[in-house]
Amino acid sequence: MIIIEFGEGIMDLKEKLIILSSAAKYDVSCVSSGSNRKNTTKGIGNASSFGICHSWSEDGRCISLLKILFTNFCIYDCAYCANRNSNDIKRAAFTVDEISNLTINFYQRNYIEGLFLSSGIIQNPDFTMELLIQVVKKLRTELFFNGYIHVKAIPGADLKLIREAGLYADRMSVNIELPSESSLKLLAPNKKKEDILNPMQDINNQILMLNEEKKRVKKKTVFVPAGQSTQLIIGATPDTDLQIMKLSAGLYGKYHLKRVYYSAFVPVNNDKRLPTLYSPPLLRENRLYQTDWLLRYYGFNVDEILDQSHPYLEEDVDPKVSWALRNINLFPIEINKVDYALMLRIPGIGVKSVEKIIKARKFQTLNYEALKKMGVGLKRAKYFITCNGKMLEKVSYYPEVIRKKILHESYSKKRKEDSMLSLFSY
Amino acid sequence: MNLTVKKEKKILCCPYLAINMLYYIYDNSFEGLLTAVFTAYAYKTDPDDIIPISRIGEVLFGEKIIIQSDIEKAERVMHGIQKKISDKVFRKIVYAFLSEIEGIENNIFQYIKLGFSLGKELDNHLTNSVVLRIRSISRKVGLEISRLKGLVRFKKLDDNIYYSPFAPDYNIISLLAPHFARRFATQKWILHDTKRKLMIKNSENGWEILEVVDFEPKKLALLEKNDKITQDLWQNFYKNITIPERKNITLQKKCMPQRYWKYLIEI
Repeated sequence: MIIIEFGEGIMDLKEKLIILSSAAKYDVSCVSSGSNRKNTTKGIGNASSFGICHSWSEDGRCISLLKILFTNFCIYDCAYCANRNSNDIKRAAFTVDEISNLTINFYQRNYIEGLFLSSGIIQNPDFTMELLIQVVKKLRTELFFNGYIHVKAIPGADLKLIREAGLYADRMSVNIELPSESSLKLLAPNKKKEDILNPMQDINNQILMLNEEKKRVKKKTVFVPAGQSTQLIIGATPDTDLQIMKLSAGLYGKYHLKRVYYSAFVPVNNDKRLPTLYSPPLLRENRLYQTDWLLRYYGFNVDEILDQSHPYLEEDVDPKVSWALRNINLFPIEINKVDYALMLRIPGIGVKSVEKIIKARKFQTLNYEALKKMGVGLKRAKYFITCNGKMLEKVSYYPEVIRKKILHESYSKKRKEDSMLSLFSY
Repeated sequence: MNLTVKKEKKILCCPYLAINMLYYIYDNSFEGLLTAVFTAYAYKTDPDDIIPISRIGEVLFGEKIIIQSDIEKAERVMHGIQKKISDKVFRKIVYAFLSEIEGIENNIFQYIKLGFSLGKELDNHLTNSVVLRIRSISRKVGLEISRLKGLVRFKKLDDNIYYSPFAPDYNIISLLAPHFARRFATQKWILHDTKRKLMIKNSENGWEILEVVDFEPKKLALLEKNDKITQDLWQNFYKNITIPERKNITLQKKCMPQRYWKYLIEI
């Protein structure tokens, strides 16, 4: 057992928790889904494949895991990080037992689905990774904990250690943070690109190999069943939306990540290498998430939405509308005849509505009353569809005209509500 | 037009027409409702409404037939729905029933009738009012179950009993129980629906649903004392996890409606 003491002596658990949860909050990954780990006879807990949100913090984010750092002591000095070495802040470290006990006690009271464990780098990446392994191994093998565990892969750690952690975790992640190599070199010179991508590649390979083996032989081995994710900081660097989304698409394609998180830059340090922002770029973050959804659920490619002549997403309209206006020749589309793939591209109609329409039109020709009755939102879609050849409203069919109408409607709506930036504000 | 609305108007406004109406009165149980459905099919009658015994006083005119719950008949209807329509539809019916919305019985009855004629395609008729009504209500019930799986909070009382009070909109305590029975199989826990005075108790032999007859909040407060340490840790975690620059109470309230905040530890 490793006990880490600092100058002031052993801190009490409450103070540690305050410091080390506050230090972990910028890692926005929040889900507890993707694993259907079952409980065992002597065990505590299970994992729910859809994930369960236990609470919501005042910033509107879902809380589903005990999200903490093992320690906020760090040998690195990344420009954007609140825990960087050169910052004069209170440092703390948990013990393996403290984390295990917190996890079990919170879990048994249904406060959490499980543990999210990250850490500053203490001594070196291998040493840090070994500390994390101690925690997850204890939870699984001594305390028989079967809830959700998300553990970070420490960049630069020996792949053997990362693989060992994977035997106990449901999800692993290594944060890319900076969307380009040049910004990585400028803002986090201690981290090398290979240190970040190698663990990602290795975990992916391990998962693929295990899945292949399981096709042939029945195996009980569980290795990172909920897959991997990563995080990109938005707005700390001059990287364009095009660069960011190309990187995302590449990560999804090459490493089969489950999620890429886009985290609006929150300036916590005074540093000349970083921009001074008055507030985090939340709208840009929201547009990036919308684009991410278009890639994963709506069949879009990055180059349909962003290219050299449009390297940034529009702020005023969502990326689907933006694409539709640039491809206005495809519209308006007849809702009773259009196929599934193209229906997904109609602005304002989400995946669930597409499924409803496909089912319902087997039994009757749909008109606008029917669509409204079924709960298909027409606010945006009405500019892009016809029902039985007719549009809902007359409009001069030019992109600028339609854009003006859409903006006018959302402006008047925004004046009524607070901007909630929920993902599906289509 | 919504059929239920039409009928309610008839009862209140047109007593003379109501004389030829037929009402089934059942005991407010799910088996009772399914027995009523069985009876309707068995006697080839079409009741104008199926009303729980608690509301019998509202029916002034018309013929009232009391339905005796019969588990065998109820099961036959259940199997019929599951085979001829689908398991999903049956689950929607259960959820709709547990919503305890006034008048839901007639909605369910119309849904079942429609289901027996349309079969597996029932839920694809998304422009049908009956289908939409059951769909919308069962979704709300399903949403509350999902939410409460996360929002229910246990307090560790002396004697290692984990106790959780909550007040759901719908009567879903029995749908939460299996989840917690699997998750906390080795723990002694109690779920307590404070609104409906129902509780579910878990033990080695499984869980059972009981009526709460005697509830002493003061005694409970004493048993809870030692739990305060962990509660305090959780409250501190909760406070510190917020990124102040992203504060968005509107979004928080939208995701976590305030009516669930009463029994949360952290707020």
